[in-house]
Amino acid sequence: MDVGDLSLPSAILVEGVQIVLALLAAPILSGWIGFCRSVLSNRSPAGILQPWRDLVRLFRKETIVPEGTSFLFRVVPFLVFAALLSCVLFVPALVTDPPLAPVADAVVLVGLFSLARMLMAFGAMDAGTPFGDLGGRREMMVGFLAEPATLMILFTASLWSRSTALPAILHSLLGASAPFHPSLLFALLAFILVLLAENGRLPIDNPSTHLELTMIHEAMLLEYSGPLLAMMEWGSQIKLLLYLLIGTDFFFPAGLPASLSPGSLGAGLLFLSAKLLVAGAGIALIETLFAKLRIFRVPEFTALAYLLATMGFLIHFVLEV
Amino acid sequence: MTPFPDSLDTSLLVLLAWGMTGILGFFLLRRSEGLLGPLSLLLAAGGVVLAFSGIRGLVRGTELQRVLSGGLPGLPLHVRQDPLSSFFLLILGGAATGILLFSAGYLRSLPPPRLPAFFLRTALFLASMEGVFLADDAYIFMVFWEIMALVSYALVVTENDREEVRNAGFLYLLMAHFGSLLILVAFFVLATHEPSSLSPGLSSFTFDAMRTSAPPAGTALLVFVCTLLGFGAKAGLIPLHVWLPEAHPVAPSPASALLSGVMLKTAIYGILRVLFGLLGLDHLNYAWGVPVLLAGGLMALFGILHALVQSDPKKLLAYSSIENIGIIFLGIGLAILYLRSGHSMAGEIALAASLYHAINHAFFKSLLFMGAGTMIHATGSHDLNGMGGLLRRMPVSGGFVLVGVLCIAGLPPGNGFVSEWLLLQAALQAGSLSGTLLRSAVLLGGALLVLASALAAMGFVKFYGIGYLGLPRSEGAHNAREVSTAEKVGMAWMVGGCLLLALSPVRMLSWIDQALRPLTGSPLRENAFPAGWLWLLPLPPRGASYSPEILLGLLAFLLPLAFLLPRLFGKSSIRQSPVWGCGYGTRTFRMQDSAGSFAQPIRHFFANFFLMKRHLPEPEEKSPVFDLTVEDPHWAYLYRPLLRLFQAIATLAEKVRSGRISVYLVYSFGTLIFLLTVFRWM
Repeated sequence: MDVGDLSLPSAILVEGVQIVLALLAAPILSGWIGFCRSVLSNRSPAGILQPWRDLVRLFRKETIVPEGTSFLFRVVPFLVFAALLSCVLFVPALVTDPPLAPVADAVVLVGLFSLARMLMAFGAMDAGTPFGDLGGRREMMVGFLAEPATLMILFTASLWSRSTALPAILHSLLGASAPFHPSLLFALLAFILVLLAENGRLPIDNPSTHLELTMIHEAMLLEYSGPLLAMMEWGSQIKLLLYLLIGTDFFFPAGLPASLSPGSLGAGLLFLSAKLLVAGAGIALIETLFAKLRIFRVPEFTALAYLLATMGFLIHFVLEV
Repeated sequence: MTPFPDSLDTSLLVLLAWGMTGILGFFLLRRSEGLLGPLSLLLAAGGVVLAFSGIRGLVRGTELQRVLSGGLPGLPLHVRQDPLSSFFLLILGGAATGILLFSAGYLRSLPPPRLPAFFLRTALFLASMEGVFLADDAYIFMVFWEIMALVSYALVVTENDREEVRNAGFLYLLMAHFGSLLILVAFFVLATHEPSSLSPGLSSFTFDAMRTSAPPAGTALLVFVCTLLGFGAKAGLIPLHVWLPEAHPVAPSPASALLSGVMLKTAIYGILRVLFGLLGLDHLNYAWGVPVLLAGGLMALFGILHALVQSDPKKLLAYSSIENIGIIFLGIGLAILYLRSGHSMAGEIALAASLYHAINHAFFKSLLFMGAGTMIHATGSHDLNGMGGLLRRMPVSGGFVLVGVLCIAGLPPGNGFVSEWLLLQAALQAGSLSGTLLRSAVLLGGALLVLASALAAMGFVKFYGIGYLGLPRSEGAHNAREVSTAEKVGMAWMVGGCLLLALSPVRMLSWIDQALRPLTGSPLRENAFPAGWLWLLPLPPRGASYSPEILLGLLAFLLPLAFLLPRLFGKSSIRQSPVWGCGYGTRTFRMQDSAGSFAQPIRHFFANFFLMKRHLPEPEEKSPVFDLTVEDPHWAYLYRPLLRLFQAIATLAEKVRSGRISVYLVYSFGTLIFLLTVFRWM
């Protein structure tokens, strides 16, 4: 397999642009969601660049490592960041076929997210505080509940292409055969639930909480500060961006350019930004409307996601065959 | 004639050498324990040679057969090394080498009087497993199979001054014999359907003759069931698994590694050999795949759930072996289903994924058992709650165990991920099956696989997080020391194996393809791997692809970049400080999660899988104790009722025993009259 139809320099260019854009845009996306949340709840917003200001400030601080931790504590933020950033290379965002997409299919992406989660839990547990353990345990719990649902969604989306390669799924969904299929609607609903659970958003976890006993994601980052915290936060923002990109690829693929001409690339980028802004506003709306669930209600939430995805799957069989 | 012996001769030489070294070592070690190092090296060298012999057999795809004289009169010994045997010899040789290197350092802590016997048993255990892989008739297969069972029993009860060890050993022996009986039945049935041209008069019991046997469908089903249950008893098939989490952990760690990492694979070999080799694919029904598939999926789920609630690290690993064997069964079930319903490509991939998982499991599970051994040695505790903070004190071995943990959790770019990915790709081909029920079964299997592997990630976060991270939970853990060089070398060997398996899946698959080709008849592909060695592309041309090499390269490229990012902004100084912990001043080790509390959500969500007895202290109790016991429900609902039944039968039978000889004479007389009457009128 070669790097698609692209020559090597343009392949590197595409991936380079994609990764730089992701690095820049991920905090802005989080800022946008925060902005919308503020507006929706009648607070004055901090501006969409606030996460960037936070990151820069954190990076300027010195690295503080808690006593009694091992080397793992210091390495984890970088490993997590690298694992999540590598996913950016495989997800179609600017073009339908990123040159490196054959390296990893959707299952590998789910695996990389899982790798990042596990490493993060290790980092949290290394500090040896009750909150770190609590966060690690809860994060792994949400993970094992959401992962089967994620995979069911992937299965449903790959029904037309019979392949879990992202570009193949994308092409099959872009084709005229199934403009909008009822199974996809179910999968979309399931995907929204999984997206909220996997990215620590309400109603599973409150990203802006600092109330110790209800934290999941924040509890894991409790002992991190300065540049290490910045890497973790940036990584999580990239993860949210990735989920939204996968979501738009699966459910709203229209507008992704297949060619590399500057015009179509620009139009594609515009389309993509619009889609991301709408999706971000949607997340903010959900977060404003719902309260946080009790931790033991989380399985019901993810079971619903699993059920919806499975129904989408079965509906395909009933309708098509 | 080449001057170099062929692979079968090499393997036989290794078998002989292992046996001889064992006996020699038994006597030498009684004189001087210092010889343990060189003797272990000798055994390990045998492992290396055996692994190469396996690779050679796989690369060339040769089938070598010999008839050795010896044995009982008229019953010569048939041995054979075909690619399937070669593959399992590779597993045995590869895993045994690392374990033996490790045990050269580890066994120094064994009480000296036990050392010679342990060495002998290890060597004989290795030799008998090799014999199982090489056997080519039912007699010699069963002989080696039984030697393996007995020697492994002896390994399990090495520390026989503890009662739990003796009990576990007895339970193991019982199950092993139950399994052997069923395997014997399977062989007998196959042998009675040998074509008469090959064996006039008596059945020959050679595998060659059995390969040509053509049993009717009902008989084939009998063979199928007996094989699955018989070998399943050895592999930990639920509900025959209860011995496994008892017996594997009580053996010394190198023996646990051999039992879990390698011996379980003899059962997988047996199933593949009998079902696909002797019975033949043509005599299987596609519907039989469904129960195997679902049993595998449930085994995976059950195994990992119980692994999660254990606080003995070795018991956790033993239950996780049940999970991994479940994954292998799942693949075998999928393969039967696909191959017999005409989807040879998907079936081949499922079966290849099973074998891939078998060799993966041999490496990472052995590595983790060694790790558990070093944890127990370093802390003097068999409980995760007495460990913690070990990575700081044992950075090298702790780092090795981290690799094993990431691999077994099925995360990319580890080796466990490759096999699970292949299995999922096979499961995803469910759409091409006909019938909604079949499709649903396959998808349910896939979903169980995903759930189990996500739970495995949590289970191994517990194993590593409680055992190696955080604050030390006991005095022993506080004073833990790094392990010896020999132990490090052994663990490094296993890490190397995991990395090789993770990074060269295409090479490995082409070998597995060689191993499977004679069994399934349909080669995986003539143009096996269209995209070259870098790309794992099981279902060309449009199927999903995966390239662990490039993925690892990208990670290796991005990681230094990530390290550089903070440097761009200025400060790079690192300062140590007390933990923040939300401002709570004190931090003691007791504030961390215990092994039990980490698994609390699991017990909560999957309460049906456990039998729990909880004691919550009353408010006015003077010394309140919270007590929780979690048990495998099979004991309460299956084995203890069975035990009571047997005891009741025994008590009833006791009634006829009066102790007076005249009564016994009446019994004999009555029986005689009864038999005479029966035979007269029949």
